[in-house]
Amino acid sequence: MRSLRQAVVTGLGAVSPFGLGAAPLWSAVRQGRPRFDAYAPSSDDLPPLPPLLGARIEPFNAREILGRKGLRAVNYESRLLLAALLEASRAAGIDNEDYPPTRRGVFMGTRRAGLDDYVRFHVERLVWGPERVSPTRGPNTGFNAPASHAAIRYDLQGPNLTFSSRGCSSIDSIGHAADWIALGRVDLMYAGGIDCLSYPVARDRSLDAPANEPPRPYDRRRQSAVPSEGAAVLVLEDEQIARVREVEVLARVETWSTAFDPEDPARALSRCLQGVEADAVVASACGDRRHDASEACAIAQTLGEIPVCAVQGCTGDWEGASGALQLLVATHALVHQVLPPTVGFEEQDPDLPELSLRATPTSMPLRRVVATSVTPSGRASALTLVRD
Amino acid sequence: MRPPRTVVTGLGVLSSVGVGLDAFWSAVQAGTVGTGPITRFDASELRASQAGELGPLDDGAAFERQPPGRFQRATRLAVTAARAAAQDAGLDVSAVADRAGVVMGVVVANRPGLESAYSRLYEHGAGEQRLATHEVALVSEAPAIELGCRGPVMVLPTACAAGNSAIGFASDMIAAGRADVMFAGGADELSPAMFMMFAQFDSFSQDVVRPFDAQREGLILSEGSAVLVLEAEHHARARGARIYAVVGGHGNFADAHDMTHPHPDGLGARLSMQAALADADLRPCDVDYVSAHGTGTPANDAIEAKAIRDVFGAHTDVLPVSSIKSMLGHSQGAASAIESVACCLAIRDGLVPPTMNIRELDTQCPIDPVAGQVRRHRVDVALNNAFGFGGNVSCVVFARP
Repeated sequence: MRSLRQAVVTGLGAVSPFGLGAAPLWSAVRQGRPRFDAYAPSSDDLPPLPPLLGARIEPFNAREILGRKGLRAVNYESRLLLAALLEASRAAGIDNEDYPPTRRGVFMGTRRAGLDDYVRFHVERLVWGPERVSPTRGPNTGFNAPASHAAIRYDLQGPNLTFSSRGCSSIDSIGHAADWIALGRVDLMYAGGIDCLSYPVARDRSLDAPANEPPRPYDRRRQSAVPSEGAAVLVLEDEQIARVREVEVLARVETWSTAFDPEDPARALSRCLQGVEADAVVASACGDRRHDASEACAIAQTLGEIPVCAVQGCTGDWEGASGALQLLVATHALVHQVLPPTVGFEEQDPDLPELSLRATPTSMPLRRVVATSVTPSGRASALTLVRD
Repeated sequence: MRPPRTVVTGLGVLSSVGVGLDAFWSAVQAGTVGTGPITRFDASELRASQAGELGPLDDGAAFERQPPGRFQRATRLAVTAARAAAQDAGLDVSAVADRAGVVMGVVVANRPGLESAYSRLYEHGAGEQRLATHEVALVSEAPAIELGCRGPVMVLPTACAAGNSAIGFASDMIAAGRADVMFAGGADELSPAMFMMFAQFDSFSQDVVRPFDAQREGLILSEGSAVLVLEAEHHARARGARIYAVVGGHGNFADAHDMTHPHPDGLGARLSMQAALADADLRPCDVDYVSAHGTGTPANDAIEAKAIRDVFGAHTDVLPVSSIKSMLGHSQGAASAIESVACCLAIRDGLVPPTMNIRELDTQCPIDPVAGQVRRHRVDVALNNAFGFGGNVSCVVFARP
């Protein structure tokens, strides 16, 4: 039985290596045009890093987008999130008159938020001594800083949570936000994810043999994930209010589930996909050998010969923001009735079940799209969007 | 059909006043102050001298499936508290593995260990600054692996409201039928970076924490962890489990005001307390005890007291409100999880923990802080407050089963 209250998606926003906005991101993903480049994040006072293959966000003028005031204490990744959130809000035609502040909230997924600021905060102490480090930047070392800055800047007095479950983080934040709307605790939620390719992440990657070619999701020759960064936000609101507002409903959140199985991540994802009906999958495969294998097995076993798109072949690995990226793409796929290609896949891995992947954007009737996520540590989550 | 109620059937706690449930609870009843000079790292150049520390960690028995040496301290604290909670609940997780999950609240979690790694990089230009063991997700994954949980596994890093956030999330998972058992709590270790921040903000007390005192100076950071076993009531009853309390409800409204200062009217605090009571279908006059956030900072305590008075009105005059942070210090993501344990034991034993170190009650804090001595007082309903940087707020109601 459908509960009386349903969460629907009415707006999208993103900041990605393809530029500001959900549109350039969708356009690149739809056309399968990646933007990988050799790049070395730098940090004052720390040794330079060798260039690393990745996809990074071009510098942007935050004051132009977000307004001049009150940005000084807002760290880089929070600015990215604010820009994505503002776009999503405008796209949904949110007029703050529609929703009192206490009925608006924000749930964010992240794996690394605050990490770069934490390290910088510590290194500045080494350089300058503790008395000369500004403490006002201290709160930016926290995982919750992006969601908190969003609440403060846009007067979101309703629920505010940050979720961290590796690559599943923002499927989980969006799924739980839909739950809260269905429960009637809140009417409007900004839900999504944020993660950045910072110095500590790049340094960690540089100590492995980093990828020397773009990612190849599910491909026989895949090596490893290629780092990237991004922020993506979905506006979720109560369906009845959205209908009254006469805003276009892009999709409805139908199911969300999450599970854990450290011995067999594929089994965890299979459990999440039990009973799920969908016309296509927007998957989390990123070119990592174990990750992609688990996901391919679970999809083939539970959903059979379903069309699949692994979006991170085009974007690179968004870590904790991956789920929000996938759900943004899934929403666009439903609206445009097009499944994007899987960039980087060329040759079937004989050890994996064969998935229905496309080399070009494919028009097809899509009513339901499921986003899947799995991690080698055993986590899995899945969320289904439906376009009525 | 009504969703199942969530009940508390097991408790595990590691705190600066005692490790283990009995040690913790008798120390709290005795008013033991667990804060003292910092020994875990060299704090000489920081304007901080006090911390709440656990002492050497004896966690070998908690780890059956993974070597503890693989993990940072916060993860080890989480595993140890989760193991203790499972034992206290007498719960065999293997029978419900797919329906059992873990959710933990944290502030810094496994990040403090990065500081020494990056000091080496800064000083020597080289070193292994790997992130794998500093992964925050391990705080939930390692306990899930130890206990055999295969349901929802999550970390909620919602600043100092995190322990309560985790209990709220767990209760939602059970009410929605997504799990029958959830291990929910919080864990954090001491972080020199956080000491630096609070010292620069001039937020520390230099001797002890004096919540609601007229001369209070500030907080003292501490480390710790606590885990509560939460179960769907039918599941707990079917296995004949001892039930400490019902998780009546929870509320989560943000201050949306400032990254460090609480809203001057206690907006998020008031709304969250009211929402938690409404969720529990209770009136303010039904509450017998408030476990305050009570950090001992001038701003927090006055605003929290005001918010409490706004919510409880005249009932405030007969409502005990205490802060065990006066004894433990502020254990960050673990704080409200540990305070939730205290709420459950207050209901069980009819005892309200004291607020220690009060010399003169601040007239700006017109509440009954249970100063100096544990109080015998029947507690049917306890409200636990937790507020964090960034305006994160989470309040949880516990009720007699």
